[in-house]
Amino acid sequence: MAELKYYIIRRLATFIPTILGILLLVFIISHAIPANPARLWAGGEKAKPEVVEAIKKKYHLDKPYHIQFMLYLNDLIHGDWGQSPMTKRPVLEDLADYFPATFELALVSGILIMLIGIPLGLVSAFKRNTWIDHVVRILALVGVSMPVFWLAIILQWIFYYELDVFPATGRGISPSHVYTGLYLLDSILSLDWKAFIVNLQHIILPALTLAFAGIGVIARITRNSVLEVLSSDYIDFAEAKGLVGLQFYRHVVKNASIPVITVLGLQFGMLMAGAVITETIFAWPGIGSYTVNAISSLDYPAIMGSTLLIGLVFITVNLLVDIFYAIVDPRIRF
Amino acid sequence: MSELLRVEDLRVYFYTYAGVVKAVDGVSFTVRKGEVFSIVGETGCGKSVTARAITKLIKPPGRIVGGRVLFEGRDLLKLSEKEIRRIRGKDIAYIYQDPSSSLDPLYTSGYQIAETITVHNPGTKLKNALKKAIEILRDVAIPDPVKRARNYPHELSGGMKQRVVIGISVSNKPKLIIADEPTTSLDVTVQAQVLDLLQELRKKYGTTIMLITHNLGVVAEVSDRVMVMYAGKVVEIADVYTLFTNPLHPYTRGLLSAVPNPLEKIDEIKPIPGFVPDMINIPRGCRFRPRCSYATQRCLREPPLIEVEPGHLVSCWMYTGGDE
Repeated sequence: MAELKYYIIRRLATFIPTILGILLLVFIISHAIPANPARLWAGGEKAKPEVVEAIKKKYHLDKPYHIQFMLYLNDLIHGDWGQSPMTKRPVLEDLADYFPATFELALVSGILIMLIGIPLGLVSAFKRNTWIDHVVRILALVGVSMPVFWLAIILQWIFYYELDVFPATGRGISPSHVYTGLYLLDSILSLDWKAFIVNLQHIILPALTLAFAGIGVIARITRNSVLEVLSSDYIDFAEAKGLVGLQFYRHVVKNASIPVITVLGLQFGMLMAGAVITETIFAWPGIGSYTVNAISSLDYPAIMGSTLLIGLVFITVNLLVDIFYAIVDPRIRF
Repeated sequence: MSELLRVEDLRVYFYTYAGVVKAVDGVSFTVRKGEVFSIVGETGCGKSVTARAITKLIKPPGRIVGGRVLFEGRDLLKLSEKEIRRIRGKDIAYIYQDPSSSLDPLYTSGYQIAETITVHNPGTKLKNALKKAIEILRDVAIPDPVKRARNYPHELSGGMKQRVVIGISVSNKPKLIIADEPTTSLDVTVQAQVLDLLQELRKKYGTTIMLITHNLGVVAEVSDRVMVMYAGKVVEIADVYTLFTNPLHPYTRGLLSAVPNPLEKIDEIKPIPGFVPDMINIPRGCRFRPRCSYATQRCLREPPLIEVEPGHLVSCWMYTGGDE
């Protein structure tokens, strides 16, 4: 396990160049847009020239790009993520408000993917080439190919307009105490069951929308990796040894889990990034809709900040997946 | 010697899209207690399928369509899946060809031996089974067994992995070990060591061994009796000395002259002409007929397996006597 500790430290060190790369890319893409952000921030066409000048100075827009980037990095190292010219608040505070909503949505979607996708894949694998298998495979295909915006609207139409069982938009109500910003968790912690029910009702449709494609992907990956393990020699040998029940299936599950966890990790990153459309349709007050607003108003600090945060989550999840590998698979040593 | 296993008219067919493959078609033989009984034949002759069918380890599209497998008088083919599982790995243990793929890469060698013990001895604690696993590793001549028990398969050499597999198979002191090409994937020097080990364990535990191989050298070295298979059929059964000195079936003769005999000076190696038949469109009558230089009209009918001298069975019209 000492090896594992050094591995984690080394992997954490590789975060730095990755983050720098992300920042540089986003900086170039956002600043490459031929626009006049200072005037936009100052209020548009009717903005007074002196206000525009003041803004340019404040945000260093009068300096060359590479200097701007260096200044941004310098602030970042000192813990200052900049101030949003649109909300007039520090970006970090904005993110602290919006990020938990997205994280909660991604978390619930991730749980749905696991709870629905993995069992579907298992059923499909163990009942191979039966009608159940065919149904699951078609569902998986549909799940992967269905456009998110279309699915979101269909779900709203069925469950809100027609059946009226779930609300169409919003995040619900704030629980009586906010500890983590994750409403569901906070409602449990503060024993506020009314808030828990309301928030659960609100999160179901967007979480399902977000999870749909992932469920299909995970079901397929689970099916394929279980089938591959079942056809391996060591499973033949395990049968020849007379292994039964848990003693038999632990060989199947452990070996099949490796590709499934890999894809789950990637999926979680996609959930964070892919929340933009879902959040917009369901008016979910998360980082996705915040970022969309930031982009449309050329809010550089907000764009940089939210990308940085999503990037950090993405690489952290990847690190967790790699640590999982190291624990499960003894062949992986670093 | 008394009889341990009797296989009667065993038939295993594979139902593929291309047609029915009669991989094992009416195979009968007996294995006596304490002996090494070898099954020889080319790839695809049905020897591995025969071995696996003994404990019903046949997966779809394969199916055991007929025959009896009497083990200590009990027909194993009539047992339920639950009952046969109690026999696999306990009374009848297997050794498979490639030790690198027979062992689960994610579990230690010690655990993989220990689980075989706990599954057949309910109530045994895993901790005690692991201790026993170390003794077994010592038995199969693995140096530093305490450390090796904690090793994962990828940390062991090919020979050591096969020793672990052998350790798994002897862990419940089985009455019969079915070793399916146990040395094929190993280096020549390691092959000899593994064969020696099998012999040693046989003496120590009094186990009967059924050895499946295509290597006649291995057969000559370790077996008591040999069965030769061709295209899903038994062609000849004899004790090892008789088979090598007085082979009767043209296929057996062909096999023996296709490998160099170190005891005799030979000018050339004679391969058997032709190819193994397509198992979906098997030749009518004797399956070796298209490749046999003695074939006549009567070979269009299937030859019976007859005992030409005590313990020497052959399936060829040349030895049926008078029936011209």
